[in-house]
Amino acid sequence: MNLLDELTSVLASEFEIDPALVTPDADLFEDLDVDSIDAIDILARLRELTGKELSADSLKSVRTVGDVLALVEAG
Amino acid sequence: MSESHPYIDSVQDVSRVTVQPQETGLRYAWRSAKVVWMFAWFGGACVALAIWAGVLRLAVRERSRRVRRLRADLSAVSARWVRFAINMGGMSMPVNRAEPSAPEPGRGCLVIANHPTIMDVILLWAELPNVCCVMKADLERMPLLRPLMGPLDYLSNSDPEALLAEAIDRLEHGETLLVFPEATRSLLGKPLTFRLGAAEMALRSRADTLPIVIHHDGSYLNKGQSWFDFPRGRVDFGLTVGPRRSIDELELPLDSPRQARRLLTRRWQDHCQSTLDKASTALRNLETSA
Repeated sequence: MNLLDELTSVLASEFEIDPALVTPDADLFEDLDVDSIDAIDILARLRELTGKELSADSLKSVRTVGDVLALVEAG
Repeated sequence: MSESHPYIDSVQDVSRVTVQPQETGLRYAWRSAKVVWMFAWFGGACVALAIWAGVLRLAVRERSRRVRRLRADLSAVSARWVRFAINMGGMSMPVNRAEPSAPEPGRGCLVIANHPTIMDVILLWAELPNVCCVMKADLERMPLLRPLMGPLDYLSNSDPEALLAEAIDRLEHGETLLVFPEATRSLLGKPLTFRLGAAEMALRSRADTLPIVIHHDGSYLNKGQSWFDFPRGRVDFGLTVGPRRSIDELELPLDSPRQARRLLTRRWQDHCQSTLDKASTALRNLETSA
């Protein structure tokens, strides 16, 4: 399973987000209706999944699903 | 001139207030001196409390008792300062408290309030005898407050994730926690925008909630205004406190945490905004009739 699929399934199962909407260009806040608390929870899930240290600070520059993937790959 | 207080009229008349003329010349100089004296009083009290915190550290072994004691002393000092400022004609601050409920003993309570000025926290300290506050990371550098932050066991907002976890933990342990959901001071005349974190804290910890609406006439200490831009008359504050509610009483869709936090945030925001709007309409009517 690649990272995008993994993220899609997490967003669908835990954050009530329609998988069809999750594309690299989708804006988390505008298109997927993610709020600031979701963002913190998503980050925590990504830490568990990837075992990488992802700081809450790094979220500030994140807008799209693609940004999240880049963040995880860099982390 | 009417003699009732606009901030309270909408619910209940607690204090008598009149619309005042704008001060100039000598009167304004006198006003400025009074305000400086008010600040000096509180500044001095902070220094005394910092020394007192040092004494408590040596005298009281158990940390939780020490913290409780210092918070109670800070509350008493703040209440005293409020009385002093009212008596010298520096401000008015009627408080309208909702019927007090009988909270379950040991249940935590999240206090939320709007945040018009830097003085709000003193007014709230005076109202709440044992409260934990969240301090903005850049306030931690302020020389008067910094030495008190540790002994008062306050939380810092520098890491939002850690703050959320810590706040929930405190509420679960029965503490009273004060949060300004705007996360910063309100902009005068702009609608309030609350963030979601406070609602999330209440929902996850299942703490009680207590909204406090802070009324302010906008004459002094607005966001972006310097403290030495002195007011031209008495500064009118007011508090509308409560009612305190348990999470169950709020009837939120608890099975959907996202909806619940958005709804609760929205409700608080609307409650504060409509209470403020009602008061300012009453104030305008008072001014036109005066």
